[in-house]
Amino acid sequence: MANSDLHRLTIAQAGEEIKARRLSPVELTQAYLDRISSLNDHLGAYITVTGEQALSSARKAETQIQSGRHAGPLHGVPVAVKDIISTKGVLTSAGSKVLTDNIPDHDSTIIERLNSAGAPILGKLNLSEFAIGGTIEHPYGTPRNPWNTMHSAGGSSSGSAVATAGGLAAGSLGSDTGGSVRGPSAFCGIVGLRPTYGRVTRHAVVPMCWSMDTIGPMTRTVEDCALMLRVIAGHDPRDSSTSVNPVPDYAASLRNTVRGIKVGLPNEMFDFNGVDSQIKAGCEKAITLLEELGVEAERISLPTSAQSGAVFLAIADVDSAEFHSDWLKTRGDDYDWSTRTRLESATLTPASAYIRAQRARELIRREMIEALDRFDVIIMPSSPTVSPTIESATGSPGGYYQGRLDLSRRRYTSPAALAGLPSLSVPCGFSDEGLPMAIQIIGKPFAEETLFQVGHAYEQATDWHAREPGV
Amino acid sequence: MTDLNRADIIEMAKAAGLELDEARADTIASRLSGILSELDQIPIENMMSAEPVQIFSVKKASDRG
Repeated sequence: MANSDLHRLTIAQAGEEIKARRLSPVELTQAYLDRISSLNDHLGAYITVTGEQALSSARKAETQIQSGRHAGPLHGVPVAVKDIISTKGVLTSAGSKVLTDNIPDHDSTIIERLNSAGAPILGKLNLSEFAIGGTIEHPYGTPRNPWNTMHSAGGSSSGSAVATAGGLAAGSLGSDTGGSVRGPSAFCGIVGLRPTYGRVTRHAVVPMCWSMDTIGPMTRTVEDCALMLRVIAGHDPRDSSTSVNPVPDYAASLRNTVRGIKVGLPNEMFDFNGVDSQIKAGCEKAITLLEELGVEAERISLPTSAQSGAVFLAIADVDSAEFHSDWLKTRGDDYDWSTRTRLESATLTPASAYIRAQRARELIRREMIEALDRFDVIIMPSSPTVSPTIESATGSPGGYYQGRLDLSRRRYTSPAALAGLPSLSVPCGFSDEGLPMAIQIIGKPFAEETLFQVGHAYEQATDWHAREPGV
Repeated sequence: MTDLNRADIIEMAKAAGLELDEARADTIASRLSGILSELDQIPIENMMSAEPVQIFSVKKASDRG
């Protein structure tokens, strides 16, 4: 395979080639660095490229593998991380001018785990400011959707989605508080997982909302997502929210049959008048295909989920505003207009509304858990629309991420976040304009294996994952 | 309190130690009113049946009582 084609290998394929010593980790890392060098200015995926460190890590991996010390499927496979994950000696900006001088003196646990797995880290990825979403002016460049660079890559893990979809990393990590992995994954045609709350450590990660923040893999295939999750999941004494539940070998059960798996389809998501007709049709076609593979699908109702967007904002934004309260007063002008407005709005949210939202959160959690007592998974669109243009998304204070449309979008990603449930976004086709569409598979707490199983079965019965954007 | 206007927001912001211009105050009034109005759509009897979640933990389905 020519060096210019190496970025087309999935993590699983590259890992196998490296393990068999048919592919050099140094060669693969250099191929990615060359691609970043030629495309990043246009796509805006990376804030910082750590080329020398990545090559050093790749050389170490090569030596280890040549001496028979293979550490697993990510050994020598280059990945990248969202720039809210602390990296020792490397800028961790959170996509904000506020942290433009923030050079941590320690690595986050996540980085330690990637290092232990032997994955070279190519750099730090662009994002919506402080992972809050809706940034109008990105201080480190505008992330562009590789399928159409006039369109948004979503938020907040935009750089992670761009790098993975555009072949500027074999896979990446993003964060999902209320949809920030699933949204960009859906817009950019890749697989993205919001893990169960507590499955993956958030140690030394810039927070947005303590009770909903998660870190998840963003990859080109479901199998790659399973491989990455296994590396980063597990209890961390430095993050008290992490679970002691054992971490399974997620990839081992990927190929189990989906026959007999029960699927709930929420009326509130499929019959909502804000869902694009192409998205609805694409998701229904995906359900039909899954039924042909043996799942048993049935319509259900999740009545409170219709208000989940407002419930999410009334909780998560208030939590986030508390974290930013001092900077808002002393460095307000360093924030993007949209971020600052959203945080100031949250600061002024009445305490009674916050408590009411907490009650509503419990209602939504109950609805979801009760549905998952009857069904193995819930499936719905990942987003009610395809990616908007950058101009309409971020060009004005009244754009896509403001107002009523923002609540429409959030009703799809907020229920799993509010209930702490795992949710996997999987590509399910393309719109007439050639923009990706996606389904979202939500499961029981710690049932990521089931999500991977369903997602993989669907993916393997289609060819969406084999298509590439023309960048 | 779902219909907040510019004056309400500027007054609340002063109490919180924030300085807002009129454009930002208008955006915040619209945004907050929208969120409060959505919350109002959840039936109050349902709302009162749930205790507010302050400390959140996820358990495996098999651990739930």
